[in-house]
Amino acid sequence: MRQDQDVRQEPAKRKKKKGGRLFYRIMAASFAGIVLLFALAGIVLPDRGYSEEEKRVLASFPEASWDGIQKKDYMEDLESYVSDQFVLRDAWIRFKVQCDLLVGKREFNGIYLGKDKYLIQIPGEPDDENVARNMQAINQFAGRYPELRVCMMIVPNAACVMEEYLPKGAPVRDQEKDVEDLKGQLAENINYIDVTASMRGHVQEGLYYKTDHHWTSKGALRAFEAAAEGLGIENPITDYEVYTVTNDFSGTLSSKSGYHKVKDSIQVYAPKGTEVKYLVTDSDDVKERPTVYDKEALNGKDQYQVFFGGNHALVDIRTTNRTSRSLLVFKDSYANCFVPFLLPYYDEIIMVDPRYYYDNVQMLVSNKKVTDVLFLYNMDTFLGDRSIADVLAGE
Amino acid sequence: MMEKTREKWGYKKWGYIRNGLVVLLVLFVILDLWGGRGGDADMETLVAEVTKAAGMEGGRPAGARMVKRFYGLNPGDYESVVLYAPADNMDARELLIVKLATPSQREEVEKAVQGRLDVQLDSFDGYGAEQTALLEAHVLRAKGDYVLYIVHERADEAGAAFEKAFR
Amino acid sequence: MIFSSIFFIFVFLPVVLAVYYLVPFRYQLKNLVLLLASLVFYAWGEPVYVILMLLGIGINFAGGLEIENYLQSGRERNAKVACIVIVAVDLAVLGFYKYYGFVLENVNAVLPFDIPYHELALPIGISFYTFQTISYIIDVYRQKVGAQRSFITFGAYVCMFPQLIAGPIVRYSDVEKQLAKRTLSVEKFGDGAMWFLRGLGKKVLLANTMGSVFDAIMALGAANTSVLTAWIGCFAYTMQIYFDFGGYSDMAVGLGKMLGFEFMKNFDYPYTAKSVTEFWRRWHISLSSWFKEYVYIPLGGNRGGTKKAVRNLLVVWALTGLWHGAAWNFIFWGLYYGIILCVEKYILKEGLAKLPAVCRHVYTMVLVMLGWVLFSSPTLGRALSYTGTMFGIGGSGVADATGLYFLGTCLVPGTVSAILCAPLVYKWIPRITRAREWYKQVAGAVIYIGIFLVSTAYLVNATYNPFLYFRF
Repeated sequence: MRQDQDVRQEPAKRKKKKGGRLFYRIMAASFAGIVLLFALAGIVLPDRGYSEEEKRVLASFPEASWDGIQKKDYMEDLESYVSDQFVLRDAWIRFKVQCDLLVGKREFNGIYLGKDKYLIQIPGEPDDENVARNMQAINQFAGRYPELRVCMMIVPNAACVMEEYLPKGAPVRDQEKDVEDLKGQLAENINYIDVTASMRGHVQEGLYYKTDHHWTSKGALRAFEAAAEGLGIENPITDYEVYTVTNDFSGTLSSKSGYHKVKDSIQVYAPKGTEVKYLVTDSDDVKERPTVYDKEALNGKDQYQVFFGGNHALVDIRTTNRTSRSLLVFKDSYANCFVPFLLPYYDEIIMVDPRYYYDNVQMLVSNKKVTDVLFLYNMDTFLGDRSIADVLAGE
Repeated sequence: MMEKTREKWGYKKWGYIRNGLVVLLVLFVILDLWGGRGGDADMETLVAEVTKAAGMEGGRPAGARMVKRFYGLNPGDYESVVLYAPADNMDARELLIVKLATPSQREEVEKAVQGRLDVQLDSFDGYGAEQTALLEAHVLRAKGDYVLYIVHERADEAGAAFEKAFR
Repeated sequence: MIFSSIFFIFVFLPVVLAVYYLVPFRYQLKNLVLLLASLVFYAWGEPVYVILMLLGIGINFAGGLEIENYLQSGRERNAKVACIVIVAVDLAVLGFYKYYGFVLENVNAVLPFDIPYHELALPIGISFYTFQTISYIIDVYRQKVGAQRSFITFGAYVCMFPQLIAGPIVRYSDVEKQLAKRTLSVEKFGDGAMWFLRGLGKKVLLANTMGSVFDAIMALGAANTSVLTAWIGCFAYTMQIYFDFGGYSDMAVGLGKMLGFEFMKNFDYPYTAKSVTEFWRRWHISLSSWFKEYVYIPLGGNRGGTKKAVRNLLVVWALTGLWHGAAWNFIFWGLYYGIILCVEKYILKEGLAKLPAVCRHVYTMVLVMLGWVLFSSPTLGRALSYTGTMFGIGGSGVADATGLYFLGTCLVPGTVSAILCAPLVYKWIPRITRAREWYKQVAGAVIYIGIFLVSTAYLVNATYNPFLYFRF
């Protein structure tokens, strides 16, 4: 039985189609054409190393190795390379988001597109056991230092404060209930500062960035006004000079969702009527400098880092005040634009980011003559944190 | 006569080939089952080979406290644990090799590594694009009594060296 | 590698097609290219198990010739033994890789001590290609087909990449002639492109969208799920699995056409069925007909009394369930259908047909959707609690804002999906593509190219591209 005849030489016995020839020919030509066009363009065009829109390092051509092939790593790397370096990648993604919007989708990769083009991150599900462990460590810490004024301020995220901006009925975690739960777990000698209600009263002022998961300086200011009394600050300054440092901020939520239709501006607030001066050092840069702002960050990938140049294990701010109060802040990145409002009221402010801080906290408390302690987080990070308990236990 | 023997050889031949292939198949399955068990290696050579492949020879292993901090694992529960921690908070490179005391610990170690990875990805989310890329290209391998986790530009090479170090 | 990926469409496919079209049919070169491409395709996902598959192909290839030789020299007994042995080896490999972990897990649950085992990875597509080789061996034994004498051709049949990892289960008798000779033409390629893009659109635009709705609803937890939300979730999954699997089958048909093959259809508008029996005549046809041909009928079918027929049906359906995965929920899902089919066959009989068509349709879809709840749930308990929520037990009321939100998000894709479950649109397509007027034909092509471009955009952004039938 011979099977290897070239059938193309046989007389074709085709069914007689009336029309349709043209359609099938166009289909054949355009499918083959489009595939080849993009395939060849991918070979010819140079690779990109970094995607500004996605804020992500793009995959580069993987090196083949026997081990990599056997373990499938090589194949996976090659697939992400082809996908990452696909011609006009950014345009495709924008096009996709546009199509999604058209058919009524309002959720993109864990982010809601709300009213007024607000991108709102969906808070994650916490691990309750871990939260309880952190809370217990905080209570024990406060119990060890009865002479300190310990406050806790967990800022609800945009999904809670800006509830009315969410797409109608969009399911999100009830952070107001989380606040109540945290209060319930907190020892009596710790003062919980709840800023939810007062922030809600000012939502239309833009308390969160539209494109980023952080709060704005305005948001921090409104929280500060609500928190001053709880922090033991009398007669807080109410008059500020406002400087807009950029109008071109596109934050992490834009990158993650692929929605790039809006930009934010970042503002910094300088208090009026105070002569306070200060020097800042941090664990990554021991050089003293007279500012909490990092101008260079405005040219970088994440402009929110203009506050303190991002997160550091330890930041130390020594001021010219004589208040004999020293504040230790355990914090996440939300504190970076909040702490500048505190400068006029303390001799020294020490910011510790437990995610990166591995040293002894007890030493810090005694060496720096700490009088006040503040736990300042946003709710989402706090409920997901896995380092507070370890830092406070400080073996 | 000739016809008949050829015919007989016909089905015999295919029968033999078929049986031979079945034997190979059984061997393959046994090897596959066995392969998961891995071979034997000692911690010192493993660490030496892996750090060499990654170009991390200069580093110094971190203490037991850091293992607990980063992974929530108690080094005492395992045969031995070696950790090379990130140099500072803008560094994501790290290396963990655990020698398990019993095979059943493998799952908990892998879970701890996953937790650590999630935490790190979270910390660098939106800040460090390079670090995020490194973390995403991490290598997590288990072989024999060992679990390897490495975040490094040369993680793939380190993974290969890890495999090779087994006898 | 899955079809709905940038890598497959823009790297693998053009390279393979270019080589395939350039080499002549002579000396089985096209089949050789097809075999090699399929091996690369498989090795891409299973670099180690490609050896397992090759051994399986070799055993069945040699076995086919062995059986034929026995039969030709009149050794019926030997042929029978060889057939049984080969089928047993095929089943043993499938059973071992698919059910080893499941069996030990259940044995350990019963035993007072634990047998240590380490989970083996399930080789992709093993359920599909094993069924193909079994059908081949049995058909050779039954002398329905002659044994294939070329290893290349046989290999190309078993691991042909269009149907390798998710079917349809192509029977050797259906493609025997095509393997020897088939035609290629520009029109056929265009037809193939059309089928491929149709499937791609179904998978990427409909199945993935509905899938993300379903996942979001599953993540809510029972306490936040209202009756409305639960039904939307169930509807979303019902659409997801059909367009996922149906889309994949369409893509396979399209790729087959591009390579010169014609595959049988695997789906025939299953959601238009008016009884569950009819549903299973329209859903995953290649699988149900396989079970009918190689299990149900050899067991005796419906001959030998009602009792035996019921037993046979239940056996077949438990196996069908088990084929879908090594977990209890799949077995229960299979039995669920076995029982419904028995009821339809022996209790309802003609009674169902007397109802108005709308009632029959609603009856069928409700049962099918409840079946999918069972199918998609990780545990039986979860399936029961979800079903409870659908009927107002344990949820958060009849309807809530969340339900309305999901109704909003799935209004457009859900409506489109529902319409595309029926033949209406597909009947209308040829009127454009085969119209006499040139502009209608051009318009038809523009629509498909549009689907292609939009799908590509979704693939480039593929954060969500799971494929449901990979597990089987």
